[in-house]
Amino acid sequence: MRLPYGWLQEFVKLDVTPEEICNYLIMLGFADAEVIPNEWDCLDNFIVGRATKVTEHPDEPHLKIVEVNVGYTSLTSICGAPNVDEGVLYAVAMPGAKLGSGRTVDAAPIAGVNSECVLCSGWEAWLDDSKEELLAIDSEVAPGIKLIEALGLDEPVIELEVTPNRSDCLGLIGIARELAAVFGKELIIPEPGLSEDGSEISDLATVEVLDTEACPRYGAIALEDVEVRGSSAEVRARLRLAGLRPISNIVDATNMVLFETGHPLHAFDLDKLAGSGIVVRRGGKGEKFVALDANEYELSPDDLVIADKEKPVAIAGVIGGQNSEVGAATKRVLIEGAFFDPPCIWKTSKRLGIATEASYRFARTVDIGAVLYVLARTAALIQQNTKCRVSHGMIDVYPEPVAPRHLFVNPKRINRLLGTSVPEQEICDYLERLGFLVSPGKDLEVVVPTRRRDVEFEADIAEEVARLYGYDRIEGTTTTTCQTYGKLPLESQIAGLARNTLTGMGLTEIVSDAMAGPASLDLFNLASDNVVEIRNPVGIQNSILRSSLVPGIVTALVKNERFGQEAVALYELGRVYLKKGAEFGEVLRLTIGLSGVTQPRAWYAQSRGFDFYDLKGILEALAASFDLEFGFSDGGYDFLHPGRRAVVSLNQGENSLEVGSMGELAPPVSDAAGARRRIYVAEIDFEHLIQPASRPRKYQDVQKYPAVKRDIAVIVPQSVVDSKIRDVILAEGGSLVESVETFDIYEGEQIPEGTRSIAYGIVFRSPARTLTEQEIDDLQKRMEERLGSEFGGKIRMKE
Amino acid sequence: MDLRDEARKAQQTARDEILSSKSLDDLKSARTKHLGRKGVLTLLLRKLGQAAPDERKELGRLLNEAKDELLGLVDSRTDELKQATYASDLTGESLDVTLPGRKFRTGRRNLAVEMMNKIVDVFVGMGFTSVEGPEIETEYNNFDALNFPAWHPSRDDHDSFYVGEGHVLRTHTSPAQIRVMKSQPPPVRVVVPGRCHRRDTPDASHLMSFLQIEGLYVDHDVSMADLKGTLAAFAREIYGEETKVRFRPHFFPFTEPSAELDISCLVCGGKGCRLCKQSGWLEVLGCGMVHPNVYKHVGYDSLGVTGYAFGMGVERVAMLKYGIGDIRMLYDNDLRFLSQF
Ligand SMILES: [Zn+2]
Repeated sequence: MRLPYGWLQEFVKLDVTPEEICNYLIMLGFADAEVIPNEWDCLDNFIVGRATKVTEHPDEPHLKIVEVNVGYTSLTSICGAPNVDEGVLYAVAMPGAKLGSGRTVDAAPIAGVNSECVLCSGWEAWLDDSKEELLAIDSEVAPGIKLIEALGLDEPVIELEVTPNRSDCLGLIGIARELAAVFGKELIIPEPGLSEDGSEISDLATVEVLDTEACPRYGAIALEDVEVRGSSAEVRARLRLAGLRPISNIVDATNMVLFETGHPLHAFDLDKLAGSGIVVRRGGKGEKFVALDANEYELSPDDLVIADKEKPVAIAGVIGGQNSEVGAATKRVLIEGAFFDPPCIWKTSKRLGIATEASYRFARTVDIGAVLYVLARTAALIQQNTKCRVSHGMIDVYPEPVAPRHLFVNPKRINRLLGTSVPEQEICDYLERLGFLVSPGKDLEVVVPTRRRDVEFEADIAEEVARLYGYDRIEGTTTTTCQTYGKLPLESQIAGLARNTLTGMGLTEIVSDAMAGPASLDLFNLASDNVVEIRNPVGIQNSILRSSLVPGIVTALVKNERFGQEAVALYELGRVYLKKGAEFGEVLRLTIGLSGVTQPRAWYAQSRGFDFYDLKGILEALAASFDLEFGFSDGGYDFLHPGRRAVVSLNQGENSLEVGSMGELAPPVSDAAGARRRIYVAEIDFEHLIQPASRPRKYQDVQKYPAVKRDIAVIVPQSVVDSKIRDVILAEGGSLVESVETFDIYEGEQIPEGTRSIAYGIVFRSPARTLTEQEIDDLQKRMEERLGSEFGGKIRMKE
Repeated sequence: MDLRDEARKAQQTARDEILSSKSLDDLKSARTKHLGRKGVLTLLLRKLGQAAPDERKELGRLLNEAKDELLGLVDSRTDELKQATYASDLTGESLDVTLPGRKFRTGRRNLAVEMMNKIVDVFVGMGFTSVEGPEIETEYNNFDALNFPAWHPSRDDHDSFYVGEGHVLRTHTSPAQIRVMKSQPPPVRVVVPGRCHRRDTPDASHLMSFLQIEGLYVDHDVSMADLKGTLAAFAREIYGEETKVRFRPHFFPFTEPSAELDISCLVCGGKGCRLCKQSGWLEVLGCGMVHPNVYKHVGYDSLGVTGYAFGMGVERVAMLKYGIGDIRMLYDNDLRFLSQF
């Protein structure tokens, strides 16, 4: 909302700068307030001049030659306007000025006579759309002064953001009330000063409200013998400063009052209302209506409509209609002042896509108690400037008058809530300054004016007190007697440890979009039946919630590859969203992604790319950091390379729980994702790790008997996998085998084709005694025999 | 040759060999040869019995003296040889220390997650417990119970994402207030970190998904002054000891009185600059005293308890702290950005 500084001063006399006012407004709770730069540079070369002599053009009958006193001299202007009056001040554009019509003024002959300046219409002076009439200046100013000065367009304007609860501050008086309260100044509310010199209102119009829920109050006042014309230049300028477009003296008056009070009004041409009657009703289904914006709208029973006896003449609280518009020919006017149900107005405005100054205010609520005042004020403003007769009395359909709220508030409780010690008297004073009536008692009885429907509880009163006392003056305290202590949930603790481990292993944490598109499901061949769909997405690419972290990390891997990163090692710990019937689930998952080189080219080593075993090693190390163990077996996501993937399980004693999948992205998927390098990804249901990772653990004695180390190498067919061999070693060695490490693999000329030689380092140890060489020799022999018989393996001792 | 000559000769030979030994290995074998169990001097000592009794004593003394001398020589020669080895090692084993070390890949924690955890830690330190809530939230928890009127604009499907029946992607972490208070009686002192979603058009300061941290403290006699003091402590912890805070009134449906917390501008310190739009202050979070209607929804006695709530955008905290101008950078997952933090 825009506050022209001079206009504001009519309601409260302040002796502080507009910038200071902004600061006070912000500290009063307005979301933002700043002085906006003057927007009237376009009037730089416009001044005020007096027409001193008007003569007919000798050759052109529609043109006049006007002598214009511009202060320091007199200039000649050739003018085509119908009426130019001697002695009247007009807006004058000097050479160099750019007119609202687009033309730039230069001293040039028009029809043979030199025209040194231009007498302007409102349109040419950038004020409004009135092209015929010259812009006359009513106030007595000296010829030659700048037009913006004469019209007050040079006054500062504050742009103010009003929070949704303070609809009472969507008018200048509301804001002036706040400032008056802060500065302890008087609030000046203009008396309407109406002279009811017309017919009885009941003889002029009727109002029937069919839906009193949507329209609890409807008032009207009528004007007769109205002369519709442009407003004075000053009024027009003021409306422009407020951001409104001047229309006519009648409409402008309604807008002036809207700006003063925050209460929208509407003017109908009374003679265009069939049966001279207003009917407030719901819209008909499919009922058509042409609004003032020249668009045709289709109404519905959700909309509240202002109709006459035959047709809709306005969409209540939103916009008027062309069929009842006040125009130059209008003689009788009916002015509406009403209160409409805010949600109803909001819905209609939203549905039809019409946002007006009126709909904005009605949707936020107006003061139901102010209806008669704003009507009288509007009529009075018109009466002051225009010849007309104002009806005797007003229509006021108000079946259930709204009483002001009475609240009982306790100053001690208020201070306790705020953590302050504001004296009771001061509390009363603040409230009274804001227009609340306060009566003393054990609890204070506070009467809340109808304009403050936002004040419902003691807490609301506390806020009013705090605002005037000053939020700044509340002293912060941290002492507390609270018996709680702070802690992190287990999930966060374990996730934090995992982040430490993964970061320590050189992986960087990412956060990917929670939303995805169905294309990612197709690309990764993910199930679509458990996917959560957004009902109102922004675009198809954001229409579902992710059901896997993999597409996100793959996107990040590919993107960083594009950016030229040699090594990309990433992880994300985040939620996936799953649907199960009508239920929604959110699961914490971990994904790891690798692409590029793990060992860059260096003086000490050859470059080596990430491979399957890097990823597997990371997972194993992560598990080990929690003293857990993962198992890996055939299978895994469809989007993984069928020969290079594994299902990841959590080994827990005899049991193992499937927790995820890992491997190399299948080449078609990786191509489609735009990757040029091989990509390795894992996805783990992190929630499965939380309990096991935090299980209680007990100290175990450190081993005190010496270990015996032996190496075994076995040549086996290619088809025999490493884990099978290790299983045999472990089975045969029983509890005496402390560890088995695969330390060498050889394939090549030294051994038969189709075989490979795998070497194992075995550590034997007993927790109870020193092992003898002999028993280890025997044990090793048994292992070798068993390996030979199981796999047809040829055993050779490693030296 | 009598034993005495034999002893002298053996001593001389041993002395020569010890002194001329070129390495610790040479020295060790010389020592074994002459002084070991099967060494010459040992053998001579064993032959003492053959000597005449009157000579035996002198010969014994002679041999023991020889042994002592030789052992002394071994020690000193050992020392000499070690010193020589050290010297040659120190000159001969020098490296090009300017060659780069073997590389370790260094990972980074995510800035946004890290900032969120850091903020949570600050509040945990002040006695708040961290809890989480679902992102797919009921409309009731997200709006109704937080005193949003039925026609509030943020319920509009232009502003919030809807899912299934009666569910919305939470637009703030505040619905967790409702969940926590419904699940336990006061005192309640929690922070709720998590992702929220709004139907915003992404730009330099907006994203469709973002992180928020909610705080809630309900007990007997919790005041706005406590709220201010707690948040001031938070601001100092995150932005530095010299940070000043400002409280100003604001409006939220679920708090009353409501406030916004500003901190003194991190760039100009309060003098006024472009970042703070000349005001000297930066807005960091919204807060207030829990609204009586919220207590009604969770079944608390609104006359018996008081409490405060606050909510802040995590990204904004990080952006202000590190001078990041565009929120989208945080979630671009670009290593050139991520590896800076
Ligand atoms: Zn600044």
